[in-house]
Amino acid sequence: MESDNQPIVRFENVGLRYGVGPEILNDTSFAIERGAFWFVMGESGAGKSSLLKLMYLALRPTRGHVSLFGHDVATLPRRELPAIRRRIGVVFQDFHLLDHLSTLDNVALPLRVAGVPETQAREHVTELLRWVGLADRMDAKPHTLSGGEQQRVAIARAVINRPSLLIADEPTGNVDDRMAVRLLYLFEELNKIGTTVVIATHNQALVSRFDHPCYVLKGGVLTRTGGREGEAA
Amino acid sequence: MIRRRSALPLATDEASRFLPWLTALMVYLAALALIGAISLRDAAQRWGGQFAGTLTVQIVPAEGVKLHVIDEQVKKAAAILEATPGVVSVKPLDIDATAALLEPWLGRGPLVRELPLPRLIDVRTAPEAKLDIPLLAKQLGDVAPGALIDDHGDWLRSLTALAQAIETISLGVLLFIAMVAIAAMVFATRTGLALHHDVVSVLHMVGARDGYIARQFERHALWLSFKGGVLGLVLAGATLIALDRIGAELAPSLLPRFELGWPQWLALLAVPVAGMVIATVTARVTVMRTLAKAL
Ligand SMILES: Nc1ncnc2c1ncn2[C@@H]1O[C@H](COP(=O)(O)OP(=O)(O)O)[C@@H](O)[C@H]1O
Ligand SMILES: [Mg+2]
Repeated sequence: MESDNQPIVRFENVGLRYGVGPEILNDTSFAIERGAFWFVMGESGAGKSSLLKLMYLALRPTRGHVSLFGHDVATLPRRELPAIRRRIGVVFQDFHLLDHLSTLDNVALPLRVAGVPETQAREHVTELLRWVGLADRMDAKPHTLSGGEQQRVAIARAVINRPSLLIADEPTGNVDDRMAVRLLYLFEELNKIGTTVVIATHNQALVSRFDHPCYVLKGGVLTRTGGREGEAA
Repeated sequence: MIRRRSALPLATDEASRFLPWLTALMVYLAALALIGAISLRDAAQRWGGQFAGTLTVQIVPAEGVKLHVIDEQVKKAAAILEATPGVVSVKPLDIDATAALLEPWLGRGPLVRELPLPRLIDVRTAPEAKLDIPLLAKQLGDVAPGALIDDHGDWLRSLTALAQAIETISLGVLLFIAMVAIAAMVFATRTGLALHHDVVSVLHMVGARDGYIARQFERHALWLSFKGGVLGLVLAGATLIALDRIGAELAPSLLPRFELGWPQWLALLAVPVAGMVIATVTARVTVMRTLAKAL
């Protein structure tokens, strides 16, 4: 069922609407190949977050099929979802950090739920936090961190277990340009070692600094606008 | 405690404050109901045991029958009893022994011997023996017209019925408490899940299994019920010791004494342990069931 030449994400005629609201996605079909690096752009309210939620299993499509790693999400039994989710790292638009946990514990969460030994988890987390410049904020609680710092904690948590698929929803919205570029370099590093990356953003300037395909979501339809790789159907 | 913070901040929930008190109250009531039932059954058995395997045969003299005739009747009756299978010993109380029993009321003197006192025969039977009482009564009636057999059956039967009724009521009380405990735990767990919906969904998103989330609730339930259980145990223990003291002051009396033996202490320990098991299992089942409906 699952093989190396399967796309990491495949949407087939996907339609999405919330309740009786308007169509957020309208018969959208595309495939994200292994190792791709996609930017998804679009105005606020265009449905970028909703599109990503479908990819990280926080939402089910109203119509059509979403496949991850070759598995049709609709037919996956519930007990197999955690294994799929552990292969996906997510940077949520509003971070979703756990307020009662320190920076270190927040970032360590994906390792702990996967049962990684504590000493190993600490080592990884410490190293990563140093890399994103939060070495001195390890014991701080999220509400004592600045927006940019929280965002970096969220990113560190998303990448800590080397996901096959990294999904980031406006991951640079709260950091200055220098940090934004630095974080995107981190994503590129992960991409080079095989991680498929999907980033939703509305920062056109940032997107144009990188040579990756860019897709725009408008009127419930995803269309390609730039870059060299990938193909939207 | 482990240094690591729990992934769910359950300790600060409202439920974490009242659940130990509720548990303490339920453990206290359940322990008293259970120990009360055990003690009563125990007492009924001890008390009833004193009378089981015994028969009393009374020979009531008819008007104007001479003393030596009655002596003769007693002798014949004793002979029949001795010949009955299942009878272990037959001990007729002679006129002196009967008079001695009545001495506190009638005093010592020849007068007693003139009274038409019923004569008693104390009979012991083998524990497993099933005597045919009506047949025996008929046989005895042939030799001694005024013979009456009392096997304490009626009295023992009502004692047993009383003990059983109290046992059933106690069992009902225990079941009721267990149901309330389960309901309280289900409610608290569901509230916790709803309250921490965001955290639970983040845990799911980072790949936590339902079991991982359930474990957080289980541990918390175990800790709360442990706290409540210890308090309930201490209170129930104190109550029992107080009752035991009062019982000691009342003795010796006709009623069997309330006694604290190992079954009572064992029950006292078993109740909070059962409470912790109920709390933990209920928390787990509730979380697993509720999450099974999530995405
Ligand atoms: N949970 C929801 N329930 C109802 N409507 C929603 C929900 N989430 C998003 N929407 C609506 O869907 C549309 C797309 O939202 P979103 O995916 O967040 O867009 P974007 O991320 O591009 O800003 C918006 O009109 C928003 O109001
Ligand atoms: Mg959005």
